[in-house]
Amino acid sequence: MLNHKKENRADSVTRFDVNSLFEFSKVVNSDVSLQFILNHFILTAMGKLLCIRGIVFLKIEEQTFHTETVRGFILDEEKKNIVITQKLKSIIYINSIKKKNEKWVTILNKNEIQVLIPLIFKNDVLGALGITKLSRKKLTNEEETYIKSLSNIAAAAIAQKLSVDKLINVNRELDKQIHQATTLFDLGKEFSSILNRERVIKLFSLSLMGQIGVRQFAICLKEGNEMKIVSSRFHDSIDASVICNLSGFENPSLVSEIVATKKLKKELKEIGISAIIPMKMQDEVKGVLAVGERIAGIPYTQTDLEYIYSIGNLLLISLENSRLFQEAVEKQKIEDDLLIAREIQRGMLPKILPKYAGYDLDAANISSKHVGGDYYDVINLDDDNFIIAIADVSGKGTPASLLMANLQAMIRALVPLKLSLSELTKRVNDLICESTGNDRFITLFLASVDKKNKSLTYVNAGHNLPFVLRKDDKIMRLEKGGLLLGVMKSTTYEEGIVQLVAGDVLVLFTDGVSEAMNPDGIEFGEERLLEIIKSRKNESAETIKEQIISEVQKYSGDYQSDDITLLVLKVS
Amino acid sequence: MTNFKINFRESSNIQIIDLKGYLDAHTAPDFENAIQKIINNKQYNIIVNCKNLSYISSAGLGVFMAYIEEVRKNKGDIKITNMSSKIYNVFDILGFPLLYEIMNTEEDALKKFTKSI
Repeated sequence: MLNHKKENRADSVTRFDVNSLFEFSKVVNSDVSLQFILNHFILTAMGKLLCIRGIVFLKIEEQTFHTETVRGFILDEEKKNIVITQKLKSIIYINSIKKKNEKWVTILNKNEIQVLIPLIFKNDVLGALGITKLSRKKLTNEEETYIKSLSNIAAAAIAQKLSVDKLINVNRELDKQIHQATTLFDLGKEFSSILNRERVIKLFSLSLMGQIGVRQFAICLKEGNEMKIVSSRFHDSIDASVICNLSGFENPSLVSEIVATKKLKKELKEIGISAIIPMKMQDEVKGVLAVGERIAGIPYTQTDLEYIYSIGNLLLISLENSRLFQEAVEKQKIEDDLLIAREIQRGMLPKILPKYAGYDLDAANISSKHVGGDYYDVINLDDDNFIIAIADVSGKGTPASLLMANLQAMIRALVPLKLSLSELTKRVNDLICESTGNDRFITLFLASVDKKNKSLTYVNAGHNLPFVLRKDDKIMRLEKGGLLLGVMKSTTYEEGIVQLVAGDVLVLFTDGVSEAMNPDGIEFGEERLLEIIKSRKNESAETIKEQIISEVQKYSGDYQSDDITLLVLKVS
Repeated sequence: MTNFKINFRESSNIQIIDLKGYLDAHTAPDFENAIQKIINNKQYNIIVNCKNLSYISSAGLGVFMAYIEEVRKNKGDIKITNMSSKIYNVFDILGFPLLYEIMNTEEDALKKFTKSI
């Protein structure tokens, strides 16, 4: 058709040649912005059709169009969105519209827009171009054909651009979600490996700020029955109780949408809180996150709130782990301390017993789970005499073992003074009475052996009566002495003397031996002890000792509740 | 153990921080300490050069958020430069370009600072 007109309308040919459409198509389909396409479209149309006014609308929803660009006049801001009630199927002359009172017609008439050309792509109206010819005449056939072609090309380019932009937006949203997932993964990994509370909170804060783009927030946690702020980036002057009282919100909520009293809403606004996110464990609110405005006032989306809710719960679990870990550490520390105490205590007992000609001596302390207060000792007095001792401090644990260490120090310090045993015991009792309360007692058996004369002098301060199994199988109990230590100051102690003969077996023991219980709660008893001593009397002190220990352990089964302490002296 | 490094430089009284490697939840506290140290020295004109930064997590971005207010209150700024498109994308999807000056090169940022001082 263009070729046919070419012969008699020379100027039209120059204005409307196919090349110009091709050029236009090339430009708008290259990598340019939507704004560029629209600007190029309106200017090309105005230039080719000799127009003094131009306007381009794009459809934003059914019948509603937004003014994208305007040339040759100024459109009031509030008129940029325009509702066009008529279907835009083909070119419309404004003055031919019958419903002249419609708002869009008035606006276009007032701004002297003469004709509307729809932008249609695949039967879909994308928008329209409005123009006013300088001549105010109708479009010629050539002009109509040209503008229709130009509009079609422009519509195709616009449609493509819009769908690309839409894709980019979808991609961005996807990217954001991937990033959120990575952050969650990252945090989960990191949280499970840090057990320091401050560091967990710090890392959480940084991730919240970075991911959500929020600078002000507070973390409130339930400790016992009370909510407490553990970290806050709101101003110091805020009323903390407002945040602590937000535990009633069971779901993440925007402050603008919550149902609350005017007073609360005002308080939240004053602090600058935009959203409230609960932290829940097993469906119970254990904490609250109060977050302020985001960067440049970007609104919170549902995804954002859900994300904060997720990392909040991660935080809660991580803090719980760190609390459990701290508890375990504390417990382990106490156990370690006890172990050390036990080692120290064991170290105080003689490691190697001295050997004396004519005597066979052995002793042992098998400690129970806890540090105890049993004590035995063998001390060289001089060339002719040595001292044996056994004691039991009431109670268990560290206090008992401290007192035991004290007792040992006293005895070892007093022995070289060569006091009589009754005097020595009296002084030890006085010292113990002065330095301990009324609730701590010690039973002590102390004996001095004269190696040459084979005589044994002793004091028994309330201790389990030691056995002497005589060669003729008679039993002797060493009971002379006095009150147990720590009961009363200035008590006196009586000494006992026993003449030993070869074959005598002396056994000192603590109640861990005689009172060891079997699973039925029946005590081992002194009878059983005596039977073992009798049956093994011809064997070494070591064998007698080992036999007693193994029988007691067998008797009490797996559970040993008290220290087993034992000293065996055989006269040969 | 970690493949994250921070280097400090100074150019005409402007503190430049070079970030290298992975800035993730694990290494973010190191970066935070670095910024904190600079602010403690009352140095508020800061450029963070991301040329060799290969990854940034939310916690890493959080460090920027945590100090920008204090820095600007003291009439300074944190400008971020030399980002790879991958790193820029992370800043972009979280809306950081609205709040921070992100520049192509360190020289651009230096020029901007010297103009404003």
